[in-house]
Amino acid sequence: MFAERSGRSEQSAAFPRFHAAMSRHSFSLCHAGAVALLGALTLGGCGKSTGSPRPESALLVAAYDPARTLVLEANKRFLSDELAAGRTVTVRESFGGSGKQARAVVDGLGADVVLLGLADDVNALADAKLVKPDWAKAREGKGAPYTSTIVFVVRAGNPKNVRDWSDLARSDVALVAPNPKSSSAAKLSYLAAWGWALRQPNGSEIAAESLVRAMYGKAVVLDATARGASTTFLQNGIGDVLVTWENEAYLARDERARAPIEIVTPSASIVAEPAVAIVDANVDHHGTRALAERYVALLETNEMQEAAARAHFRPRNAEVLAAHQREFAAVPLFTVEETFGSWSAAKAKHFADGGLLDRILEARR
Amino acid sequence: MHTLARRRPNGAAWAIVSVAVAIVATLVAVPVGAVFVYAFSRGFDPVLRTLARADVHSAMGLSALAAAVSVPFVTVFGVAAAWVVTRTELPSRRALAAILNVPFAIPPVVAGLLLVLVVGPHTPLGYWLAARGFPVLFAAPGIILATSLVSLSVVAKDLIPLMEALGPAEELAARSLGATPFQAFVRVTLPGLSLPLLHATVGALARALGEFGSVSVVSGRIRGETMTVPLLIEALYGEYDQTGAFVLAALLALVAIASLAVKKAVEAAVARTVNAEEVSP
Amino acid sequence: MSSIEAQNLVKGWGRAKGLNDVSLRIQDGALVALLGPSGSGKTTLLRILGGLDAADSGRVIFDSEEVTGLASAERGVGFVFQSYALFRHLSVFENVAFGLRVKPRRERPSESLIRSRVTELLARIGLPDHGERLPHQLSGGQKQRVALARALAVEPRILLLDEPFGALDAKVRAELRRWLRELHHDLGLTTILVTHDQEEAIELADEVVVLNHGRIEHQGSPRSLVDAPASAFAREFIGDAQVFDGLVDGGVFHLGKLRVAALAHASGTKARLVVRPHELRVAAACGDTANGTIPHVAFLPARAKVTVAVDDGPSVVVALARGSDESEHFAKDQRVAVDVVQAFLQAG
Repeated sequence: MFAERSGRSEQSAAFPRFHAAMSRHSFSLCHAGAVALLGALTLGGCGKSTGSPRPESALLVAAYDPARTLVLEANKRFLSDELAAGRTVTVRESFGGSGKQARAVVDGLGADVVLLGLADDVNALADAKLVKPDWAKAREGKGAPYTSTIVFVVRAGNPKNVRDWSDLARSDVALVAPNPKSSSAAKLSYLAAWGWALRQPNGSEIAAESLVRAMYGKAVVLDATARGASTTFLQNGIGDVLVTWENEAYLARDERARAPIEIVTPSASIVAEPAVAIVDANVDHHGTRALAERYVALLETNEMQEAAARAHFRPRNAEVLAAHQREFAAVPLFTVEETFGSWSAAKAKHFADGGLLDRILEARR
Repeated sequence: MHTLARRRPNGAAWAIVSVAVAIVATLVAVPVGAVFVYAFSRGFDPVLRTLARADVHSAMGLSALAAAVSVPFVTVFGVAAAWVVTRTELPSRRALAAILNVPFAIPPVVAGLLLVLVVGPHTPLGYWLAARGFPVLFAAPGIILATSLVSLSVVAKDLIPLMEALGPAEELAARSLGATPFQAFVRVTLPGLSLPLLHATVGALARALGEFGSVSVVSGRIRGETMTVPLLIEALYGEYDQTGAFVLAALLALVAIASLAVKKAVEAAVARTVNAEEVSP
Repeated sequence: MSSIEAQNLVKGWGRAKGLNDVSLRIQDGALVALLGPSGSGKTTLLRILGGLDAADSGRVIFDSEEVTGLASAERGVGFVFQSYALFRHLSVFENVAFGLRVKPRRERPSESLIRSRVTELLARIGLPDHGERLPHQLSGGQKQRVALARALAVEPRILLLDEPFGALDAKVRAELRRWLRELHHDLGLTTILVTHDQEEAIELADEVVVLNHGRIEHQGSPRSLVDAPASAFAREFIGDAQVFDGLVDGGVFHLGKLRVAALAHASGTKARLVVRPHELRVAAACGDTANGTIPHVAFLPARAKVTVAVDDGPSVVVALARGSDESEHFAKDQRVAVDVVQAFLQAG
């Protein structure tokens, strides 16, 4: 409900501009006549553009799907803050899978600020020279203003009695998960399963490998994105257990009052650290750096930390986190760095072309 | 003859008909019906609210714009291509006929990726355009291009077999009566194709409005700006706004059904003239 | 009205439907039939004469004016196509008016002139009340007449017809043939028509040109074609000719038990017999005089066609005038005596 309201007010702010552009198109098209395509090619640029210089007052935020409600609320606050400071601005937003959004920005989507599921997706922007290579240091390791983790969603009453990671390997449990090749949530789920297996008594690389092999070798659906996997599990009713972001799980629970589901927190999981970054190349091109800086600063305010908590993200701010502690299951969390050394090491071993994941997926065929 | 044709169906015939009806019902009628049921499952208010949303309006506008540009374009292209393939002796016409299959053969997503490779901001052409304030990718031009690309051959493929069957006799007759090539085309070829052209254009329109795969690659998914109706349907569905998604889906389904009806009516009209031709002694 | 001359026309040398050095002269006002089997090049010749197709080499001359490079309209040629090729979307009236309406502005007749000319033509083809109909509402014969009127509307010097009656049934064909003959008589327009039907060519034309493999095999009056074909092909092509290869032995050509005198041929040489059905004779016979059996008899309105299986030889078809007692009594399986009254025997 909340999301929808803020969404609408947000879009109406952007709408008049677009509408004006549309009517200009149709007018010009009448004259363009038969050479319509070429006409539209050039006309398209006059109204709206994502790559060309724009007035300082317009900001494009590209975010990963799960951050949708949070971003819409942030945008709403940002607009009113700016207005209070005497500045009229517009904020537009684009949502999609984390990896897909990173790809779109690399391909030229003119986002000023990105909020992505994995720091590694921002690294892809740095590799494309759109973001400064030391972006993480510059933000003092702050990343996003919140963290999350990976949990399980099961059908009401947990009929398959799924309790922990080892249950996902059971042959009678139909697993729905995003595909780690494309989804940041899935990469983390995979690494969480691995890390959990290492931490068990007699845990070893071999045990870890057989767990992820069992999980991804037999998953009934491997969706491209976390949101896609949620849709498969919840709306299309496929599978016994969904492995996904904690906030996705809570959001699904809120939305699914009619067909209840339960959230199962495993005995240990991984810290998910989404990343926020200013796309340096784009803000410099658009002249929107100051605007982007203010936007990112807003995300770290206590109000937005509260909003993050309401959107079921674990706030970074200790006070805010403490205030919401009982809403989040107490679960031992480990980081990618302490388990795998570094993101790039984990990626090289597991997710690179020809890596372990490829071999597991290959074996499915 | 008639007694044979009107023979009472036996058990096997009934069984085959029943299976066919059952398959059509399960695969087509039930899902299409369900779209409408879901759309109105919470009454009229959510439907009206969905239809009043600004992002819905913008998606409709963009889809309409993409169709309004791509349909005339692929129609003009289709007539020209069909003419070259069926009415000229150009050595390249066989190559052209083969190339016309490409937009059908490549998956729409690949078509979208091709556009990224050709007019993306990192390509010379894309850079040149963007530098002049006409970005193609992640803006309306890219979406129009993607739509045009995937439906490029729709009209040509519809017309070629027909023009092949009709043969060049009417154009030749026009030329022999003193018409210039242009007069022959405008006064004979085009009017003779009016119904088939309507048929093909409606097909192109349906394809343009429903295009998802290629547009999804080049859209950038900016709400209120670069979302087409099919993209918005997917987004709304993913956002747990089932009603919204199904209202828009029902709208697209209506357009599809209407275009199907137009196509069928055109086919019937064509069949009538052909039958009359055969009946006359 | 014009004379037509073709000089050394070549198109796709050696290929099917090609022309291999064709020269032809047609008199002013003649009605000429181009006759030949399919693929013989007759339609190609017509299209090149009409300017719808270009020859690889050679010249076309109308009267004494070279028209080789001119388009059909510039040559003043009216063309009627095998499939009628009426404009499906235009009314009969507009079909006929088409050639007048596409004329350049300064040559175009006024609307009232177009109206009177089209009305006159529709009356001439016997369809005065069909102006508002669409082509698909006409019968095949009516369509063909409209196609003719359309070609005549631009007042051509020469009328070219490509298999004009090909798609019609026999009765309508005969009717239209007569009508075309009358029309030609009235207008005196030099007319060339392509046909694969020898009867049509012979009945209709003043002059018949027989083509085969892109060459002219015979050109002359229909009578000369029937009575004195200019080539072996023309001879074998005309009049249901039956062709048999065999050996000459002691002045006799042997076709099984059927014998033909061959005094001019040396013993032991091969020869080819070309004989038409009416050039054979058949009589009831028994014992030694019989040399064949009847497997089939067909009684047509004016003749009976008797097939005779010659003993130790091939089957031959014999045509008899109906009416004589004998002709009415032939029956299947009857033993008969068959012999050749008149035939052409050429050295093989």
